[in-house]
Amino acid sequence: MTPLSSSDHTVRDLVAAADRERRARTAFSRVQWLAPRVAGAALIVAVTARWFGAAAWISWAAFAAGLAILAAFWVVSRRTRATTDAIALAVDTDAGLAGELRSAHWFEAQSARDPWAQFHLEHATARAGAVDWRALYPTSRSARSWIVTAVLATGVIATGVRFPARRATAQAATTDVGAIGAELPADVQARLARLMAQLDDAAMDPDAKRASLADLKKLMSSLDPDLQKKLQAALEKKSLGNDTKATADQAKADDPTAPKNVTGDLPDDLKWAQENLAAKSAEADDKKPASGEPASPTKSGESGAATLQAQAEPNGKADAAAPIVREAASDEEGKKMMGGGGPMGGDSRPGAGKTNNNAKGAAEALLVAQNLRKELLEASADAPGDNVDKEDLRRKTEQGKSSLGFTRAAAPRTVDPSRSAAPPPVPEPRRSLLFHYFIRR
Amino acid sequence: MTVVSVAANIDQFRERFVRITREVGKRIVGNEEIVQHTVTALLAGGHVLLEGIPGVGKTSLVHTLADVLHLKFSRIQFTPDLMPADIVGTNIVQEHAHGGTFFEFQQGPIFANVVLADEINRATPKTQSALLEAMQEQSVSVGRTTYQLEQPFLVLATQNPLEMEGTYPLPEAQLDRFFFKLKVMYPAETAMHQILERTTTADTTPVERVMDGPEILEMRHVVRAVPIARPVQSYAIRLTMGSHPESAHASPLVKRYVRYGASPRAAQALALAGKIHAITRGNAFVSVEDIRAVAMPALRHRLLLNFEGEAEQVSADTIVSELLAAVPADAKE
Repeated sequence: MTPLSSSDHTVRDLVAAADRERRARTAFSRVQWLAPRVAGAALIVAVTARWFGAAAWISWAAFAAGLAILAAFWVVSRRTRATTDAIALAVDTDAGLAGELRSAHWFEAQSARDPWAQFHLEHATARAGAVDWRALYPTSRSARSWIVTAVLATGVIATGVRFPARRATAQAATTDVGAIGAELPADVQARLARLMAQLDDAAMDPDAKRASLADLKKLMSSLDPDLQKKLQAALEKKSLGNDTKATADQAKADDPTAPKNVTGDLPDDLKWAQENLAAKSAEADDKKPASGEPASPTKSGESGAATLQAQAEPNGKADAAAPIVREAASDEEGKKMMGGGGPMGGDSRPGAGKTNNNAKGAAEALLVAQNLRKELLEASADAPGDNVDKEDLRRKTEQGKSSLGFTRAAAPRTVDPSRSAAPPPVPEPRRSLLFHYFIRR
Repeated sequence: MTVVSVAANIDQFRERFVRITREVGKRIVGNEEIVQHTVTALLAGGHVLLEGIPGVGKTSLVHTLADVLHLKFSRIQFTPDLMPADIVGTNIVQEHAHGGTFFEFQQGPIFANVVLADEINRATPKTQSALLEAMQEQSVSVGRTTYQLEQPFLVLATQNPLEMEGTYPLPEAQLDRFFFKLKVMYPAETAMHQILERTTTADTTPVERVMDGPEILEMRHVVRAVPIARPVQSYAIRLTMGSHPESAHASPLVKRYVRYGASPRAAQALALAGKIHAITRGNAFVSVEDIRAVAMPALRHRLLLNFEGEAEQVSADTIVSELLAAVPADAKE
C-alpha cells in the first residue's frame, strides 16, 4: 500500500484508505480468531471421514475450503468501498480530528465551494494526511493462535496421509477370507460363500440363520484344522464372530428345551418376593412328609395316586378338592389354564414332574408376582372404573373452584354520593405551582 | 475573499473575542463561561436572559460589557407600573418658536446598543411585549412611525428565580426570542476572594474599551461565513426536534415532562452559536461538539414543561442533558 500524503489524495480518498485500514484490523482479528477453529473443524472432519472410510482428499478439501473462506473474508474486508458520513465520523473520531474530517468529507462532495469551504478542505486534507493510519489501526498479532492453527493443519494432513481408513481395514479382512477360501476345493468354496451370504442376509429368518450357522460350523469342522484356525481368525476380523455369537445367543434364547429365567424381566422387589415365596413354599412342601402325611402325587410318581390320597383323607375338604383340580388340569389345555394365574397353578399331572415341589412353589410365586405387577400397573395408571372406584375429588374440586370464581362475581355497586370522600388536599409545596399553572392559562 | 484571508479572518476573530472576554473578566470573576456566552449572543445578534439570585453580578456584567464595547448603554428597571411608552418612548407636544405646537417623538431607553432590562419579570405582560418588536425586528413602532434601532442591538434581561410573588413569568413567545438563557451561579470560594479584593479596596479595576460597534458588526459578518456541513446541521435539527414529545428523537424525559419543545429559532441559535464556538477554537468548520457546547443555553428556556413536570419541579437542564445523551451524532438511516 502506498503511503498516504495530502498532496495527491482528496479527503474522500483519505477517508477510504483509513476505513480500509480500520476494517483490515478488524478482519485480521477475526481471521486470527477463526483460523484455529477452522483448522480444528477440519481436523474433526478429517478424523470423522477417516473413521467412516472416506478418502483422504475430503478432509483436505474441507481444510482448503475453510482457508479459502478466511482468505475471501480477508480480501473482502480490505476492499475499498464507498465512504459514507458514518464512516467518516468513525474515522474522524478514531483519529481525534474533532469533526474536521467528517465535515470536509461532506463539503468535498459539494460542487459549489466558497473560500471558507476551500480553506476547510485544504486544512482537513493536510491534517488527515499527517495521520499515520497504520499506527492508528495496528493489527494485534497473536503467535499462539497461528501456532495452534499450524499444529491443527498438520494434524489434518497427517490424518489423511498416515492413517488408513477404518472401512478399508475391514475390506482387507474380507479379502483375507477370500484368500483363505482360495485354498479350499471349489465345491467347498461355493458352499462357504452361500452360507456366508445367508448369514449376512439381515432379512433372513432366524431359524434359517441358525440352520446356516450350524451348517457352517459343520463345514468348518470338516475342514483341515489349520484352515479352520485361519478361517476363524478371518471371520473374527470381519466381525462375523459377533454376528455369529448374536445368532447363537438368539438360538439359545429360542430353544424351548433350555431352562428359562422366569424372573428375568421382573423388578428387583418382585424377584425377591418371588424367591422368598418360592423358598417358603419349598420349605412347606419339605415339611409335609416329615409330619407323616401321605406322599403327594408328585412324589409317588403314580397316576391317580392323588385321587386315592384324597379319598383316604375325608377330613380336609380343601385338600380333597385340590387333587381333583389337578387331575382336571392334567391335560395340555388344563395345564395352560392352571399354570397361569389361578391359585391352583402348576403342573399337577400325576407323575408329570419329578420337580413338582419346586414347580408348585414357582407357580405360586409367579402368581404372586403377577398380582404384584398388576397392582403396580394399577397404581401407576388411574383408570376410572378399574382401579379408581371413587371420583377424582381433587380435580373436580379445582374445576369447581374456577367455575365458582365466575359465578360468585360481585354485583356492581351503586354509587352513593353522600358517602363519597373529598379529594385529598394539594400538598403545601405544590400549591403555589398549581396556582401559577392555572393562573397562566 | 481568498483562502489566505479566511485564515486571517479566523485569527482576527479569535483575537477580538479573547480581548473582549479578557477585559470583561477583569471585573466579572468566576463566570467566564457566562461572559463567553454573552459575547457569543452579541456576535450572533441575539439577546440574553440572565437568571440568578441577587448579588451574583448580573447587572455588573452588563455594565462591564457596555464599557468594554464602547456602546451606548441604557438600563430599564422593570416594575409592575412600568408602561410600554416608558420603554419605547412617546410623542410629546412641542411648541414652535414662532408659535404653534407639534408632536415630537421622545426616544425611550430602548434606543441604545446594550439595553439592560433588569428584573424583566416584574413588569406586566403588556410592557414585556413592548420589547418583542425591538428584540426580533430591531425596530420600534410608535403610532404610525417605525424607528430602526441602532446596530448592534443587544437586550440583556435579568430575572430573579426566587421571588415569585408579584411577578409575571415571561410568555413563551418572548422567551423564545432570547438567544441564550444563562444561569448565573453563585461564585466559588476562590472567586469570592477575588471579588472582595477588587471591590472592597481602594483600588478599582478599570476596563478599556477594546471594541466598537462597527468591529462587532464585522465579526457578525465573519460568523455567518463559517460553513456548516449538512450532517452537523442535521444534528442540530434532530436535537431541536428531539425536544418535542411527539418526535421520534424524543428522549423519555421529554416524552414525560415536556408539553412543547423548542422552536426553529432554537435550531438557528444552535447553528449560529456553534459557528461562533467553532471559530473561537480556530476552526473554519462546525462540528457536533460545537453544537453540543451551546445546546444547553440555547434550549433550556425553550422547553415548556407540562403540569407533571412543573409539579415535580423537573429542571429543563436535566431534560436537555438527557436529550444530548440520547440524540446520536450520526443519523441512523
